[in-house]
Amino acid sequence: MKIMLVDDSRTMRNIQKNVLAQLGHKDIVEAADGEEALKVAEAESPELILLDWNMPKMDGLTFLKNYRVKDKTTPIIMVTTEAEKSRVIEAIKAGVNNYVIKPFTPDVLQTRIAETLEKKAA
Amino acid sequence: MDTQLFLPFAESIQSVFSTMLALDVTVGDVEPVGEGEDHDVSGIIGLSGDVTGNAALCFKTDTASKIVESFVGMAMDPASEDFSDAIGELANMVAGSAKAMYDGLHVSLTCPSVVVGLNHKVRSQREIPAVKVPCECAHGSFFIEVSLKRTTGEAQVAA
Repeated sequence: MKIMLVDDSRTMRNIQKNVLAQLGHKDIVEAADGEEALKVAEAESPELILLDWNMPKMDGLTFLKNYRVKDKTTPIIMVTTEAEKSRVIEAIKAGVNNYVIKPFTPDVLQTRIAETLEKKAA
Repeated sequence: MDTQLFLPFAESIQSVFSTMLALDVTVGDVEPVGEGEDHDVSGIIGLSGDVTGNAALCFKTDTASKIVESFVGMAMDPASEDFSDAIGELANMVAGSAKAMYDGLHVSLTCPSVVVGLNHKVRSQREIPAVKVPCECAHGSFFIEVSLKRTTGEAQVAA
C-alpha cells in the first residue's frame, strides 16, 4: 500500500514513517506542503494520506478541498495540532476520514491508521 | 498579562514532552521577562486572531541538543536544518496544545521560526507584556517566553 505523508516538518514525517514501518508499511511518498502534495498525489496515486493542517504555500484544509474534487474515496487522516472541536468538524465536513491530534503516541497513530484502513476495506 | 493566556503553555509543555519525548517537565513560577534571558536556540510561533503575539521555546545549546536527540532518536548537529525542524515542530505542538485551551477564542498559528545563535534574546512588541515560564527536565532547564494580548472576547481556559 502506497501512503503519502504531507507535513512541512521532516521530523514529523520521519516519526510517522517509523510508526508506519512498525505496521509493515514501507511504500511511502512525501510532500512538504499542500501544493507539493497535489502534484505528488497526481503522480503517485497514494492509497492513504496523512495530512498536516498548518503548512506554508497551501495548508492541509485547502489541499483537502482541492483533492476531494477529484478523489472522494482515498482515506485521509488529518494529523495536526488543531485540536478545537470546530476545527475537527470543519475538517470532517471537508472530507477527512479520521483525525489525530499532535502530540500523539505511536499507539494512537497506529490505531487510527488501522481503523481507517478497516473502514476502507469494509 | 491575562494569566489565562499563558497558563495553558505550562500545561502544554508537560503534555508534549511527556507524550513525544517521555520526559517529565517541572514548571516553575512565572516571571516577567524583563531584560530577558540569553538563549542559544529558540523556536518561535506567532499567534493571531482573538489573541495576538508570540510564544517561544528557548534553550541553551546543550539542553536543546539532548531534547532533539530524545525527540528524533538520534544526535543532530545544531547547525543543521533537521535540528531546527525538530525544534520548530516542538514549538508548534506546544503552541497548538495551548491554543486548544483558549475555549471560545479563534486563534491561528504561524509556521514556526527557529533562531540558532549564541546568547540571543527574544524580543516582543513593546505594548504586549511578556512573561517567562521556567521549565526543568532531565536534559536541563529552559524557558517558554510568552508575549500575548487578547484582542477580543473573554478567554475561558478549558478544564
